Amino acid sequence: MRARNGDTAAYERLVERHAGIAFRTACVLAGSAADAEEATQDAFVKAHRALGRFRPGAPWRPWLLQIVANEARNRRRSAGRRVRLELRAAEQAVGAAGAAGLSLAAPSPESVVLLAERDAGLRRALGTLAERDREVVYLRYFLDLSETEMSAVLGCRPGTVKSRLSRALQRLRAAVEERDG
Amino acid sequence: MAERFDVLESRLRALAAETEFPPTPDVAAAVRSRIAVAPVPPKRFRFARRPSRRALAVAIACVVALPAAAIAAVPGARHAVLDWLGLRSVRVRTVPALPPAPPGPGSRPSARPGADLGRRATLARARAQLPFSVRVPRALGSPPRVFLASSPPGGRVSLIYRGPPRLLVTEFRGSHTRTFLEKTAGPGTTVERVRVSGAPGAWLAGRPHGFIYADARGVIREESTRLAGNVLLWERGGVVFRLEGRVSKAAALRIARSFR
Repeated sequence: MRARNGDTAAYERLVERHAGIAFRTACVLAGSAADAEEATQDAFVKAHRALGRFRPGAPWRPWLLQIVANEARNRRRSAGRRVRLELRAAEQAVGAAGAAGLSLAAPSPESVVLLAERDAGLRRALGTLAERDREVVYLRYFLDLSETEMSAVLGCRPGTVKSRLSRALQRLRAAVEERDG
Repeated sequence: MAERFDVLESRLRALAAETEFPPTPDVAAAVRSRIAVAPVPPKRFRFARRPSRRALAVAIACVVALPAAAIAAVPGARHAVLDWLGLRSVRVRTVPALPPAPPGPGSRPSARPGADLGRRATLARARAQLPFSVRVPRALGSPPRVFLASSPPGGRVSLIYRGPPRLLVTEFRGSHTRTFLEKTAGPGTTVERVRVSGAPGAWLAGRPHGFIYADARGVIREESTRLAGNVLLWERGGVVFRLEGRVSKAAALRIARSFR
């Protein structure tokens, strides 16, 4: 890797590679896609400036995500605002499956879908969680962050991540059960 | 029923697979121009071991996960699917259960390629092993071929009648999860609610079809078309019955009513 000593092209590749996870992390924390975009951009610029402080050999992602998280939190403009996570467009999905040669092909004569209605309930239950709990659940299960990355994003010790996640899951389970009756 | 964490976790993962974040904007260009304006050469920056194995693993996972994710998207976006298929709100019925899943390692598809029926068994063995009462249609007599599968949880039995008409009967138990069976039908397929001796059911007639479903662990699965034909689905006592074959509705209902 030629990315050292200010190799801008190399840094750009790094940005491209991590833009997705940085942006999604920002989405979870910022409250809107627009804020998340700003936060991501600023985070990459700040990270570039701070590269000198980056410890060589240390994992890059947790370090970057920590900066992203700070930027995103600073931009959360209203406490109640939450990013709306969209369902994947079905048409796209069906088309993609067709392109992949699956029998779910677009003009599929018939498809029987066993729908997990419970997922709708789970989604609603997630919505009732406190910000703090929801964040940890999203980071773990929707973004698939490692414990190290989560601790960087949440600003807590790695050991605390587990207990926070476990408490959040308890409350989520309680919320699901309440809804499922 | 209390749900264990691992179940909740797999549900969360399944939900995540259906969820899409807003598309990532092109931040690279903006970052590039901002850095170009104020370049700050780091003192002694080195990357941590190139893309790192983790990044590579992530990239591979993305490639592998793509078709699954595409399928996974379907159940969550059912209205869009139904709209797209021109059949909004055709909810066939509530089935707290799951169609057959692909066989695990060791069990070979036996009936024909693509038919994930499990392993060959006898009716007696199926009855001894499954936690629900296996019923057979008296109208057709004892099934010539019986297959037993361990998925979905609770097990599944498939009975094959060579016919004519060739028929496939599948029975499996509902799980405690509140899963719904949704029907999306394309051109050439009709859906009709029916009653099988009082039990709610659906008659799906038309062209061959496939199943897409979430199993008890929330894993989205797809099952390819098996026997070409019409399908009668019904549920009784927490057990889902599925009869498939080239039969008329009247014949299917007559057979279904004879299940004992």
